[in-house]
Amino acid sequence: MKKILLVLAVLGGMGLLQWALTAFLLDGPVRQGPYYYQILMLAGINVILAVSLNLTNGITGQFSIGHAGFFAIGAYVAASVSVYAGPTLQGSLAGLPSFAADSVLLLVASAAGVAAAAAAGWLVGMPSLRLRGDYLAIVTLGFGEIIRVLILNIDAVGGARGFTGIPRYSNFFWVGLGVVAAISTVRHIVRSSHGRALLSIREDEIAAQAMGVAVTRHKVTAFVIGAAFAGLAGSLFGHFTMYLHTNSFTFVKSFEIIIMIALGGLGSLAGAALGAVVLTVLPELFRGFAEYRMVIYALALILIMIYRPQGLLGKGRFLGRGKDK
Amino acid sequence: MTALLRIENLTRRFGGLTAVKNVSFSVKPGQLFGLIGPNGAGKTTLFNLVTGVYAPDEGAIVLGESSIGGLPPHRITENGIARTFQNIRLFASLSVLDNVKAACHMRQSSSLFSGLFRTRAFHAAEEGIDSFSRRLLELLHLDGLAAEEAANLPYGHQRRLEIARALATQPRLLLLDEPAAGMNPQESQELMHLIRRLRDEFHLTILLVEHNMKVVMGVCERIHVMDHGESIAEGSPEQVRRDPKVIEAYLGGE
Repeated sequence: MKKILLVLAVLGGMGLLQWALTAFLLDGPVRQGPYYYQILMLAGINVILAVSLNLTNGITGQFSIGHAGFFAIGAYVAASVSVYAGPTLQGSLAGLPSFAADSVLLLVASAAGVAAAAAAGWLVGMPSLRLRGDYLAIVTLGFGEIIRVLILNIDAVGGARGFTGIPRYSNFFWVGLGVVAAISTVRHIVRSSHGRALLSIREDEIAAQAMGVAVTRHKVTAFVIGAAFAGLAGSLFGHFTMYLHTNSFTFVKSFEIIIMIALGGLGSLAGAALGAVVLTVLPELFRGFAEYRMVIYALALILIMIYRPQGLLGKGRFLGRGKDK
Repeated sequence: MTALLRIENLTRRFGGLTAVKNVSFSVKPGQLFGLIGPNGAGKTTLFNLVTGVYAPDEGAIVLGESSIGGLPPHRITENGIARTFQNIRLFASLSVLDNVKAACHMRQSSSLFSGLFRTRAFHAAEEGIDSFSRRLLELLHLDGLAAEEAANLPYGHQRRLEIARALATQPRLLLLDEPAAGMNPQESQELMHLIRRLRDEFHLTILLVEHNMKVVMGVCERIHVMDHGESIAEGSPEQVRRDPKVIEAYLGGE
């Protein structure tokens, strides 16, 4: 009962927010409203990406730098569903009001994107998570690039021209729900027996195995869940920008997500979310010298590593800790 | 009484070196069994074979009725063997309580799914894990430190936490890898009491690899001696102490 109420409250809250945002930013009096709305959307999508990568990198301790690959798979698969199967589906939903029909289409497309990203996560994770440290990083980096080049060469999704004509189904309501889903999923996992198993793998793989933790299976599970949420982020992204290009999914994007979680504090959920928001907003503030963005990133990272190596919210606020008195 | 652990003609080679050569012995249920030998005798290799770090080249390892030779470490733990590490391997940045709880994972039944949706089964399982872990900490006199980060514990406490964590997997056989290493005489005295207490309270069988002769002779009921990968003697502490082969292995012959 309490859970149903909670879900209803979240849905209602997001709906209300969406209504307010539409009224004030999109159709309303605020100058540059749509621009702020876009930043908000991108921040939400980045939060989903950072929080999901944190499950693999921060909590399970498996250094993956291919998150943009799963992001791309989710974006392109979901967009393809909308573009190619959308018209047919739309016909069968003709009776519904347009926002409901859009929502159903977004859910169908997102489900496909999430499933594809999760499947890719499983395929990549099964062999590569037996590797450790640097090797895993190299394999995941390679995977991300392979995906990008592959998409670049598929004409049906636009190839190098980019994928156009994607309907704009996603809005703050859905992104907000995605953020809530990602955060609560990761949070619930960390604060459970499975989460402790993942943390033990990060802490000491050999000891974890000796304590009966099926190390590879748990790593793959965490990796697949992380990939699935990256796929969701991709789907929401594509259905917001209405245009996809592989340039959005280079390894630079993967590093961006890593920087978000490093900035927030590896393993800290609130940190990952904060890092994502900060790194979405900061470049906007520095719009005037956008070409120095990477320089600012590098500087910020170096400064954090020197003055706060555990990240902004690392340690102390670590999940699963501080509760036991 | 049938043996709990049977090592049968176990051999393991590393390239040209035979680290463990045709070793056989068996440990009875409830026994405090010691494995000793000079440096390079093959004790650690044997330990690693029993815990699944290495697979044997020849021979068998039988726990109760089932053969466990060559299984991966987590499957061996599932079968009822738990271990501690010579060079302490705690989950350093987790709390003391979470170290023990993490080791309960294998025997807990709630699924990832029920954890996600916080079902009743999940809460019941978590409560069970919590009270079981706290009881283990109490038994090892670590209960006041439950929220402390494992890395911050003093050395002796860390060793005890390793034992608590191993017990959380609910083993039949506990393997202690040089538990007295780095301990002062008083601490090793306490360790000996603890080992006896563990056996009695948990009805455990304990296999001990140890360099500290005082501890081995003081606590073990039966001792197996290895040298250069081979078995050279087995018997009670008194028998082993007087065995000329053992004396020769440790002190060198004429």
